Amino acid sequence: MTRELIEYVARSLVDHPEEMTLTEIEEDGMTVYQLHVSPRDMGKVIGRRGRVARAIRTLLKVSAIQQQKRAVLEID
Amino acid sequence: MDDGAEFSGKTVDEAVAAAEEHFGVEKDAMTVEVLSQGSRGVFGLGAENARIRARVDHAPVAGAEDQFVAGEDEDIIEREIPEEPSPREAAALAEEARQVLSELLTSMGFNADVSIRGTETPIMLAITGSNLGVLIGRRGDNLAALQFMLNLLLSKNRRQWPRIVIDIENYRARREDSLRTLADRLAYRVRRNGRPFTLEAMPASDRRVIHLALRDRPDVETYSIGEGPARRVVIAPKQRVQT
Repeated sequence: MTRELIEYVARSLVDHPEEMTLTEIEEDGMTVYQLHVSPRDMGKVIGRRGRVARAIRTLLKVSAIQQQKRAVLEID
Repeated sequence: MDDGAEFSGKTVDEAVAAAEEHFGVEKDAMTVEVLSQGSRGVFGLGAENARIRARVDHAPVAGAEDQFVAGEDEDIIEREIPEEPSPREAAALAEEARQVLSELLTSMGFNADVSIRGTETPIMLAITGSNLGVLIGRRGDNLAALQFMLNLLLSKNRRQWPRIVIDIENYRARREDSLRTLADRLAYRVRRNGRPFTLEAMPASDRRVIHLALRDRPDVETYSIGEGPARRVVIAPKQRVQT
């Protein structure tokens, strides 16, 4: 779960899924997801004024709460 | 797309605010053309109101939309006249939307059913299951994010924003009902103690419900103050018209 969410959403949004990576780091009981996409796709996952990134983070938060976990998303 | 409507105010900002409330969307989701900047005049003489023409980029959907109002994403959706899809297209879109939403929910760890409630524009999907409160979130924020994401994913291979509306456990209807009840209760209180009451900040669609709920009352009037996400409705005793 959760990881699937980020993968599913990001993969659907980008034009170059082959350049996308998603790594996961456990830090003090919190999962840090690091999403890397092609520079050409940055706009797609960030959106105007960060709207898309904000929506992804909101859904990530919901998903983490549902599984009684804590998670954050970094995008680069 | 229609030509929108004209709004006026002492300043352009005031005119825009009037347009926001009329349409029930934030200004980001509108195209605003300034017809006249207005002028203060000299000592109030010759003052002229600012006038704008505004229209909603993509028609607003019923219910609680917030900062994820459809229509901000010119980079994703090319602006064009929304065409009414044929019944067959609408049914196909609804089914695709149902599948994408199911997949989203599963990936988020929810075990919930998605059903198509209506394929008339806007297409409405309903999520049912248990413990879905977190999916709605405070003031529907999480639901708004979910709906925005669904439309964004579906818009990928389309030229138009699909305008799918998601409802969870009748949240949208319940929210409207509770806003109307709140409006009535506060109007009564304002009439009784004669002092204006300022509500908490709300998205434009919620403010619109409050304004409409109290529009025909003889004893109170409503207006909004503040900017953007901090914009709040004020319920005030109706002033006698001064002559």
